[in-house]
Amino acid sequence: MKRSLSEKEFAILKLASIEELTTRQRNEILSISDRPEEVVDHPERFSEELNSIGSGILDRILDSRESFDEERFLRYMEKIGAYPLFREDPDYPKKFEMLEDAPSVLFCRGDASLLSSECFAIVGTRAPTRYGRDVTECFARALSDVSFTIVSGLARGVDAIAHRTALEEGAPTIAVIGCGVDKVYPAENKELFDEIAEKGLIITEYFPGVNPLPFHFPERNRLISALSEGVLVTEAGLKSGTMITVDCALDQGKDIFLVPGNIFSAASKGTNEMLHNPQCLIATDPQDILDFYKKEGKKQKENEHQLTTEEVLVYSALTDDDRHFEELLDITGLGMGELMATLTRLEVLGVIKKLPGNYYGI
Amino acid sequence: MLAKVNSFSLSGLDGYKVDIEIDINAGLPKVEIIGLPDAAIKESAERVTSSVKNSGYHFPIKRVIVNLAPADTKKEGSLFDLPIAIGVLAASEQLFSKTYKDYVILGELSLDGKLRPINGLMAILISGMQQGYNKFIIPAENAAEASFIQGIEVYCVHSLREAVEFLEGEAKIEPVAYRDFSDAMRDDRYDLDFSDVKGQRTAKRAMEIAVAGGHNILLIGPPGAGKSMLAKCVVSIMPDLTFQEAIDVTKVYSVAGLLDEKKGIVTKRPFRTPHHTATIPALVGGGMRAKPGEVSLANHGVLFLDEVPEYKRQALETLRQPLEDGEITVTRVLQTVKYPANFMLIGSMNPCPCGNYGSKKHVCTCTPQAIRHYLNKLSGPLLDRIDIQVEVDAVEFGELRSKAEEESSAAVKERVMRAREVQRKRFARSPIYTNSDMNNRLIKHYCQIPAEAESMMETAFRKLSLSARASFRILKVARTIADLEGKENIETAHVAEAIQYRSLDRKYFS
Repeated sequence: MKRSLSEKEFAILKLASIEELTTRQRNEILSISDRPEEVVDHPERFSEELNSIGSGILDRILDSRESFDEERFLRYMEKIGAYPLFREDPDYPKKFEMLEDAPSVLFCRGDASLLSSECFAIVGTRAPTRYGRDVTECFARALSDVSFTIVSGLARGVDAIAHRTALEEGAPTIAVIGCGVDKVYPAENKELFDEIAEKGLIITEYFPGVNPLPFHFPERNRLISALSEGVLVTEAGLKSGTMITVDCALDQGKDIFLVPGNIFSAASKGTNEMLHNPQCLIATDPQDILDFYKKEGKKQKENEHQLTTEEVLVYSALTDDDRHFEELLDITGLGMGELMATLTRLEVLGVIKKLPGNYYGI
Repeated sequence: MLAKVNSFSLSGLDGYKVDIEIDINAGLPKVEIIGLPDAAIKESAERVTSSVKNSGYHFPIKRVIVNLAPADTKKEGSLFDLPIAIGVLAASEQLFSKTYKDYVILGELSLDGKLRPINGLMAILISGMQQGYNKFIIPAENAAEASFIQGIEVYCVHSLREAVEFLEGEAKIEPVAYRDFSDAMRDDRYDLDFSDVKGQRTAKRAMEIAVAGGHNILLIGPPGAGKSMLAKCVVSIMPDLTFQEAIDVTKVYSVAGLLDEKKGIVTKRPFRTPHHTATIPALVGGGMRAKPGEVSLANHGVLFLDEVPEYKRQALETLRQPLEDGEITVTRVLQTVKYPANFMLIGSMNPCPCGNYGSKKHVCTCTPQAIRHYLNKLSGPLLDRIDIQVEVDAVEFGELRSKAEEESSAAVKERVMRAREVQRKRFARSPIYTNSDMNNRLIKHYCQIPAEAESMMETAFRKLSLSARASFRILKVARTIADLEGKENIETAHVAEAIQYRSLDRKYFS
């Protein structure tokens, strides 16, 4: 902890620890008095106001006085390397002020100064196809390169790919999560979570220990879009949580970019559907976004490698489509071992990728 | 009167001599067998009584004591029936000639006096020969098995009567004629040929390398990709069994009672496919009598584990010692025996529980955790012993029907043999035969790679996130690839190819 907390801040934390309250209710309680600590410590004095906000709130606040222990909370936060960020703090994003129900406190891990950087959200389906994967990587890379901070939700699929790509580019990234800052959901993203905490920022409005409940995700989506200049949807099916982020972004007047997909692919149905919305912009190349924001993209570092004849042969066979090993054998006419060796060399150069099932692609 | 007959028994694959002493005393009629016999030997009394009577002899109505010496070793099996019967006839003075003392007598009797074949004969004959016994009387049905051993006289009899007549000199029997091993080898074909597998060139190439260098291999692919068929073909590209190897294999098969009696010797490399429900004793050997398990039956051949992750973890872990030492020690209450277990391990698995991970046509329905959990069933130490991991994918319909000539097993085998020859010369002064057996010191000595390859490996480790322990494996496989090409030195291309055979280390698999 950089500093000791004021009475008021403890009151805010106490309210945050009551899981049953909505953000709006918390904000209303805090607005009852200039000294919210009085409301929290002696709620019985404000019973009328509290009852008008919601029934049972008075009892909940009374209970929280028992259950919330300041000392223990501070020790726990220190142990997990997290800290609270209040509205009065300089790092608290100004962008949240336009929200009707801006969280009174955020729980953070990592570098909170990133919140004031120029952010761009990349969201999409949790089960991306190869196409969605490639699109996400391509855009995340380009946007990181022009020093956008990539914001996403650390979910499975597109979110995780966006974060990971940003980190691979050595760029910071912000993950807005839908559970306590001490929980990793989904669990398979543990390594990514730790890396973001170290090199980027993880924020949440949920109190430590709160589980990832289904209704949290739509709530956190509004923070994702609020933080960002624009939102890019790389691949989304119908009925996707991504739609909620897009709706929030539209409400907040953010720019929305959509990457069109294959019209037959279920995973792209959502993005393609949204293309009909005149408020959305179409991005078929990262440059579209960079142009929109008048950013100068870095020179593509192509043809930097000196390729041998065989390597060029293999590379050009892969330019239109992914190929199976056997196809490559036939197309290139190289011998078995020769082709294997060429593929490894190209792969090591980072020019091509090996895909599951003996496929290779660029 | 006392009679003493020579016979043999087995402990594991080693035969030891058993003296069968028969004494007939006055007393209540009874046959008493002592010297730690098992149930089959105890019942021998009834078989011997009936068969002596049914062969036209008279079973003494006295107290018959049969002692199996050495008395402190537990004996098992039914092969003492014939020696006991001969002993009884000698002790009751119905067999006058003393020639039976020159022979080692083995055989199980049926009630009518006919002889039945016994298990483990090959192992007994070899041990007997090593211990200086060279005349044997055995059941006629075991004749084929005996015919491959040179330097001993083996007489085959069909019944107790025939055995007695032979010993009395009344019937003349020719010893079993020695047969050359190559005769038995001649018309032996494997059911599946490499040319029957259409397409799958990556997997076939990996198989060829695996066999050439004696590497264990893991095939990863969706259901129906042809992993099992590929595995079954592998024996057809392995070098032919040498006579010594054939004897080794035959011994185990004979002891396990799996030998084809007409043939008498195993001429094909064994291909064993235990089911994934196999218990540990079934895999490594055991049971009350410490019988050989699948790993020993696969000696000099292939142990194929289909759907490896489905096997019980513990069962898989028990494979580590045989994979390392080439033999297995089975310890049971009654005995501790060593069986050979020098096999090539071929494993097959799906890329994920539903099998469609990475497929272009089907959608994988597994969660990342489910995939990780599935792959984690293979422990690191076991994976450490598998040098080559290769993806096999479903063959396109067109390929199945294509008329393109596929290379035959014979052609591949020839290359394999050449590579093996190179290795034999290389390791002439080491106790190993193939590249896969090289330890770290030998790898450093024989697997020097050019600087260019060195730097490529370094980048590959970083970029392809290969695990550190993959490096020695890659070098060994690169050595084999160079040997297949007849190259003295490992070249960069060889290392590059070897890196392709580390599928499981890839990012998309973790």
